Amino acid sequence: MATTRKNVYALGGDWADPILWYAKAVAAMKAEALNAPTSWRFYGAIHGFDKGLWTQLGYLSAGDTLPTQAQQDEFWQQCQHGTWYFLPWHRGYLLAFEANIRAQIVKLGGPADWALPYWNYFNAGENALPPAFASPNWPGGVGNNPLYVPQRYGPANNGSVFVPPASVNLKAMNDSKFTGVANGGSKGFGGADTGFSHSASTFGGLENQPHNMVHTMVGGQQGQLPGLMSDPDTAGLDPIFWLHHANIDRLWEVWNENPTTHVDPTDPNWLNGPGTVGGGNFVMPMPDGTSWTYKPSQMTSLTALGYTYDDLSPQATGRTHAQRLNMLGFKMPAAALAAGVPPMAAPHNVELVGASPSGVSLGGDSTQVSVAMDKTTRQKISASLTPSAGEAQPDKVFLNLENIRGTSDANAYDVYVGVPEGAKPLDHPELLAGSFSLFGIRKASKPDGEHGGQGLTVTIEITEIVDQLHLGKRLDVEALHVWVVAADGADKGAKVTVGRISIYRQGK
Amino acid sequence: MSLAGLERRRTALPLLAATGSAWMVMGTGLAGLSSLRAVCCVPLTGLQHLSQFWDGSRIFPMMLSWAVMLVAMMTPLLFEPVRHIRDRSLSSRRFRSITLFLIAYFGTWMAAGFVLLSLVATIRIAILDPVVQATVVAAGAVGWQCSPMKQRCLNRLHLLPALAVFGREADLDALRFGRTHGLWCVSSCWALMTFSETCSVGSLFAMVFVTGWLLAEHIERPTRPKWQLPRLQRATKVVSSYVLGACRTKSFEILSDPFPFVNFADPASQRHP
Repeated sequence: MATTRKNVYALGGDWADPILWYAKAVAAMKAEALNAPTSWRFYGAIHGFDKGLWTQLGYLSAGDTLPTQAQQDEFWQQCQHGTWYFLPWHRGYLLAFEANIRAQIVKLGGPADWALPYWNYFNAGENALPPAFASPNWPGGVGNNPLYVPQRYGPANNGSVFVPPASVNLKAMNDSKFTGVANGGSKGFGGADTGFSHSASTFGGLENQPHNMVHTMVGGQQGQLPGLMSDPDTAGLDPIFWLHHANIDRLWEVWNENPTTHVDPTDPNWLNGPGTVGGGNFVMPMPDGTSWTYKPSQMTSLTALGYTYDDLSPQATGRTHAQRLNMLGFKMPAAALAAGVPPMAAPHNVELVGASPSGVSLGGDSTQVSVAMDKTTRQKISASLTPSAGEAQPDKVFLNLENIRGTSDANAYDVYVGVPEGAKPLDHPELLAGSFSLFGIRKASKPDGEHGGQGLTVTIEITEIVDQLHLGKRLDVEALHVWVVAADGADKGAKVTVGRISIYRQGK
Repeated sequence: MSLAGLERRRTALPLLAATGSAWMVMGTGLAGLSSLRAVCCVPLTGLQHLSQFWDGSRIFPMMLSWAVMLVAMMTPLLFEPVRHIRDRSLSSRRFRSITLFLIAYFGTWMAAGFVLLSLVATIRIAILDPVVQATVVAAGAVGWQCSPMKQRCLNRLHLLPALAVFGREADLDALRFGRTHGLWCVSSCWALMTFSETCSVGSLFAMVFVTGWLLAEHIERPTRPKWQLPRLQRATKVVSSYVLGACRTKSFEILSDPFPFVNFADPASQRHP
């Protein structure tokens, strides 16, 4: 029988048995030395490790013995971000972690069928940090709750931890393709195939939203120090990390099942993992002392892994492709309407439309940038959006914030596109294109780091706004005004630069 | 193949064609050039004094040979920057921007060629025994390859700058990118290129070896500069995975059912591959 992961808010109380056993097992793992492969900190370092940051945050001291270099090379710093391996690597990471927690629970006399709960911050009334994680006290004692970490500051950096509903969305669930292009077009639901490139740092739809944003909203920062969740090198140290990732894993399964035309890649380079392009293996230490090596091909069927979730209901939001065609005025055959127009196949042709003339510094409350557009390419968009006798294949349009560099992972921004001259972006919620967080920026900005100092690149689909502008005859302009607005609680003095803000079309 | 893989192929094919053509020119003596061995070595053999190096009848064919060598050996390293320009330029300007980048990049290497070939000429004059020449240069190259300065240069080769889109600024950005990338590339590769130029014995193998080595170190992830042995793990893994893949007689069947699943819901059944 499949093991079911359940909503943490539906377990039957703040300290229902599953969460209490989780806390006891976390305490047992935390009691192990750093160099024990099944210890709490060892498992956190599998996601990421930074000696200086760990020391500053109190997770590494002079008395600690680091694992051998061979162990560090084999297990540590494996996390896959900004690639199409993001989802399968984290699924295996969750499975291995859960096996370790379950082994601890069994040792403590708990149930052998324990499963990791998930935190669905999208549910009404469930966006606050689950209470068991929010207090230093617990049924096992006062001031020593293993699920509580003080370095969790929340969206306003004041210790009130929740996920603001307006800051997250499920637009990625509408993406019909798992993978996309590595240049300015759609990255797909699960991320782009980056090949040998070390400089991509471009996120798939689900990774950008809600994954990255929840990390930032929960972690926050205090002064110059990030909350644990805000930085990939410390995120795995926070017990809420695992419930967040269980939800991300659940959303992958929801995407796969609704509709069933959503399929994972069949490309051998994805199925076999990054080893085929010279990357590391996915390998986890298991409770029996062995190492488990896995590949994405093993992660595609949750059923085969013996798992399910208690809620796999559809999560898609926004308009359908048929609604879009209808809005644009394309005449569709009655038969097609009755059958429901399938989503358009992702066209291969990705083309730059225009870009800001120079780099941008994101300072203060908001930054306005003018993105100049090439007339010929802009007219291609307009032509594709205009009903004609031919096949209806309107372009998709994407805004790219390229080479974002900075030192603080805890900031987040909203992006507005097409705001009229002299108007304020907050007065035009219909022009909110999306939002992004800087999760991972510190590492990506280091010139001698593994990304070569390229920073992050964020891609936001702006098709819906472009459609509105086209219908309102406001697309035929030389430049579009883009506003980048700092989210509440963002460090407005932080130095964050964007190499270029650009617009791409993806179409015929 | 993934959409991104198809995109990559659009960039890779012309570059492969260019490098393949250059190797063919050198190997077969097309276009009036002498064979590979002659291209590499003849212009610098028989030197008695450095002033002979600057002789017009010697320097022109030598620099032509150097240019063909560069196209053969360096073009495979240009995949990322060329893809970057292609992706980040208007489609109407792609060819122009890539051309400007290549002019600046190879221009930088040609200028560096005068210095490097002078160095090779000096070594040839100072050390007569070709085996000792190669040994001395190889020892120097090993020292450079292990140095933190070398790693810093390699790291900078992964920098792909923001590019202007329109007008003169777009042209200047492409030229600047080519110059900067060329400078870091010269800084990173000079020792091995000097080594391959010095090898008058087995020059074909030396050039192939150096090209493979440069490509291998190029696909490594950037890392903190320090004294270290050269890192070629990624290339080793790629080669071994392809060799293993070729050895598999039923590769597709293996892919579709590659490993026994671990049932994580049942601790008793946890068997690991």
